[in-house]
Formats: sequence, structure tokens, C-alpha cells
Amino acid sequence: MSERDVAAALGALDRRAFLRLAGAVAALGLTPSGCGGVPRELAPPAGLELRALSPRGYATFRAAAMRLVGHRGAEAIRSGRLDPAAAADAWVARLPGLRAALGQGLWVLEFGVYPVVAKWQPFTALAGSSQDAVLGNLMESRWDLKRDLFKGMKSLAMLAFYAQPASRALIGYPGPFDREGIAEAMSDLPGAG
Amino acid sequence: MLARLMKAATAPDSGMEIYAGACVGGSTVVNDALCWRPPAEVLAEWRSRYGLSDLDEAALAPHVDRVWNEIGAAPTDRAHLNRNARLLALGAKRLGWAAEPMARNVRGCANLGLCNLGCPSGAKQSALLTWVPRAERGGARIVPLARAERIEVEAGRVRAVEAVRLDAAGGTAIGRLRVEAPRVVVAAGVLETPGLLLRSGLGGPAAGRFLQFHSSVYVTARFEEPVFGFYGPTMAYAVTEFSNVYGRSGPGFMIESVAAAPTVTASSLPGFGAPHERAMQELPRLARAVVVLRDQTRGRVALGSDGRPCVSYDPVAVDRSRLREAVRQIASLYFEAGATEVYLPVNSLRPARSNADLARFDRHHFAPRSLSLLYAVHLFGGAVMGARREESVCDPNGALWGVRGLFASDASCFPSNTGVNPQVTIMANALRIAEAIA
Repeated sequence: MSERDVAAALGALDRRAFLRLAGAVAALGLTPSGCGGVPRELAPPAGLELRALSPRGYATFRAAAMRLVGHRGAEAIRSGRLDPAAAADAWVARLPGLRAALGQGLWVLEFGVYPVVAKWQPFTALAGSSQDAVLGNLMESRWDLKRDLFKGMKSLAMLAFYAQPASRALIGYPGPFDREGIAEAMSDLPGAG
Repeated sequence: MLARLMKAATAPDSGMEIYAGACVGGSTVVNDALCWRPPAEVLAEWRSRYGLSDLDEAALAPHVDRVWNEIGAAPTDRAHLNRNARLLALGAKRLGWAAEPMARNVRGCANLGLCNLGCPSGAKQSALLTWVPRAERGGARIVPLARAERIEVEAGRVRAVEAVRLDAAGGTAIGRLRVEAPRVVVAAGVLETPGLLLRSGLGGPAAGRFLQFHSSVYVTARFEEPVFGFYGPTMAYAVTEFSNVYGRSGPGFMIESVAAAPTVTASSLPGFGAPHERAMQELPRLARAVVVLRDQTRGRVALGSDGRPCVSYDPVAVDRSRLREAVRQIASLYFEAGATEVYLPVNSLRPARSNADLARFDRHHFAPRSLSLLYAVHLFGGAVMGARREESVCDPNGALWGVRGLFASDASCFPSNTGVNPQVTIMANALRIAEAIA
């Protein structure tokens, strides 16, 4: 588990920035677009005791992570082999000052209204392609706060996903103490001189 | 755990991310072990512009030499240059650019690629393994998990430091601590030293001012051959061609090889979803480099409503322009070294497959928030030394103006950035200040 990596992600999820983001959303009249239950496949698994995220926050993070990490990663999450939302919950529980920030960011992502999506529904209720459109809109927005939200979500999702040993097989990473890998990394490259 | 190792913040005006060590041993525990002697050009600037007339190479040399020996700094030998570093060297060689292995403070490096995560093999000679034990042998008592909140001053002389004790997670106050001392040396880093002074009503109008960074972005390249950039020293080789120190007169940035560890690579690669996943699947074939820009921007540390340090830092146009140039140069270098794709650090751009593709990058609006990750790799200022009281917090020996017995002795007292990884300069200056105190 990389502390530096978590610090990197949470640096973007700055509490003050999210407070301002939440305020800006309210000021723009972007009212909540749905408050129903979350889809069953996104809900926290039975037995998981959330320490920082709400059940909806967990579901929102899980849904966003599945789109952010790509198809194979999403399959690993869907199958239960990887649970980045649970990892994020555990990390943020150790950082009380950031708990509210992440909660607010997830609230904005879940209930914000995005012009790029025709139907006004919570993020967790959207089809995958619509979720991609929402994330793409955040990423390329002219609004600084929306881009900050994307950056924070992406960083935390990537870290929560790729810090878990179960992700290594997806990316050909043998883990930190692989003797053969180290030897190859330190060997000459053809033509490198 | 996080609160025990790292502190993270953002500059709200630019979205720039900022990291600093927050553990016993400070940033030396989480840095990449790189060692550079203080550049003569920087010391000359400190003398001419800020009145630090005693800070010349000759005066600093004994302290630098002592640091160099104490922390075991030595140039990285070929056996410890990983393929990631060698690809940077290859590209630089083919382009005729100045480049060299960097010195590192390690003894018995096991090439684990975990330098910046505390170096579990114990090879990196961080302050935790060098200066801190030495201080303890001299009678120092270390109080971990404590946060200095305020400095008490009485009749113009420092009297005590008030602190809170934190729980093991580092977030919740569980008690208070008050240390009375005739002399206090503040070395809480560039975020917290000014923060502590400001909370204490000390430092005058210059407290928190003249903040300066080395801004940084990553560029990642894919090669046909395995690179395994996640093993070996996290950083080991530098292209100095574009530097403006050590006798060079370039635009003022270094290019340094940097590890392709899964988590940081995933965070810094642009975009998301399928294209991002395809890039991550190539992880063993990825090489990475980082820009270390000698910023001209000046920012500020102030106090937020919660009393914690709040950073303002928005890169000026010339710094944005030089960052863009640095990214382009790295991309060219990687193509020269045989890269098949270069992932530019701009969220909305597809990977470049040749130098011709870089035209898209040239046309793209290069704003801090359009980047996949822009961060401050080294921090300076906020409690700067100077000859003039109205423009500085400390005198040239680190003594706070107007408070007897109070000193600042970390990168916060540097009047500008250094253009190179700064740990040796910070340590040498601390020894100089210690000598002046004694």
C-alpha cells in the first residue's frame, strides 16, 4: 500500500475544493436528479462494514471506478475480485479531515445534472455509455471545479484499484519483490550502449 | 498511516497538487534519494538579490562535504541504472544532449523500486537512518505523532512550543504538549513552518510569502522491449541539457527518469476507460520521465479558516510555456530512443506515435487543469532568509527577526528554488545555521 499514492489522490480531493464545488452546484440550481435506491450490483456486499462512505457513496464510487479503469478492470470489480470502493472507504476512514470531502464529491457526482446525458438520473442509474459521457464532461469541462472532481475521482479510483495485488495480473506486474523481474530491469537494452 | 508519512494539499487557484513528508525523518523518507550540490548560480542569486552575503560555495563547502559523507551520496553506477534510466540516456545520447547519472544517498541498494516508499531494504540513507539517530545519541528526544500548534514568545524571546499529541492514525488530537526551551528551531517544511509562524503571529509581513516550487509533470512512453520500469532506483538519470544551473544556460528544467510503479503510472496517464486500460496493460513496456521545472512563479502560504496552511500558487505564463516545452522535448527524446507511443500528460490527447503527432500537442491549450497530473515536486520559501527585515522572515543565519532564540532551518527559509533536487542544500544550510546557533 503506497502512502504516497493515497496522498496524491487525496491531494486532489481537497476538502475546501469540494466544499466550494458543492456550493457552486447549489448556486447553479443543479438540483438533485434522483434519490432512489442504488442498483443491487453496486451496493456494498453483505458483511462489509463501511467506515467512511455511505452505502450510496460506496455505490457511486464503485460505479465510477468501473468506468474509469476500463472493461477488464470493471469485470474484476463486478466479479468481486477487486473492490476499490471498499479500499477507498478504509483509507478515508483513517483520514477524518477528508471524509467529508470525499462524501461531498461523490454526492455531486451522483446527483449532479449533466447536460451531456439526456435523462436526468443518478449517476449509478445511468447506462455505462452515459456514465462515460458524464466523466468525459467532467474531465474536459471549462469549469475548474468539475475538472478537479474528475481528477480526484480518477486518482482515488486508480489507486484503490491498482494498489490491490489482485490487479497485478491485469497489467503484467509481478509484484514488488520479483527477483527475475528485477534482474531483467537492470540488464542491458539492445543498442542502449 | 498516511498522516505518518505524507502530507497532501492542493493549490485551489491552479489545482496543483502538493506533497511533503510528514513523518520522523521528513521528506527524506519519501524522496527518491537524489543528491545535487548547491548550484553556484543559485547561491550567487541569493547573495546578490537577497543579501545572503556569506552564502558562497566556499563557505558552504565544508557543510556540503559533511552531508555528502554522512548520507553516503555517490554517483549512481552502471549496475544501478535500470532500463528506464538507460532509455533516457539513449535518447539523450542520440540527440547529443547533456545528461548524466545522478548521485544518490544509498548504501547497498537492492533495486526494489521502492525508494519513495521509505525504502524497505534500509539502503536509502534518509534522515531517519542518519541525522535522527545521531541527534538521539546526542541526547535529543523524539516525540512522534505530535503537531506543533503555536510558538510562545515572551519579551522578545522564544519561551515554549505548544503542540497537540495525535492518535496513531494521525488525525485526532488526544492530548497536549508544551516544551519550554531557550532556543527553538522550526523545520516543519514549506507548508507547516510558515503555518506555525502565522498561527503564532510571528514572521512579520513576509511570513508565508515568496513560496516557490519545482513544478512537475510526467511523460510516459511505450517500447517494444520490456522495460520493467517499476524495478530499480526510482530515479537515477538526468538530462541536464535544458537546465540553467551548473554552468548551463537553458530554459531551466531538468528531465529525470522516474519509476513506472502501477499506482502512480495509472494516476498520471491521461484519460480513462478503455484507452487508459490499454496503456496500463503495457506497464512492463512503459518508461517514464518527469520534468523538474525551476519555476519563476511565486505563491503564498496563508492560514485557512481552520488554522491550517492554505496554498495559493498559479503557474505564470512563462512557466506554463516551459512546462510545455519540457514535455515536447521528452517526447522527442523517447521517439529517438525507439518508443512506439508517447502518452502526453494532457487528458484529452491521444498518444503520439511519432514526432509529427506532436503538432496536436503544440496546438492544444496547455492549462494546469487540462493536465492529467501537475504537482509540486519540491517546495521552497514562506519563511525566507534575507538581509532586509521588511522582505524576509529570518536573517541570513536563519534567526527570526525580532525574536531572540527562534530559528527557521528548512527549505522554507530558502529565498528561491534551487533548480535541482534540494535535500543536500537543505541539510548543508541546516548545518550552517546550527553552527551559527552554537
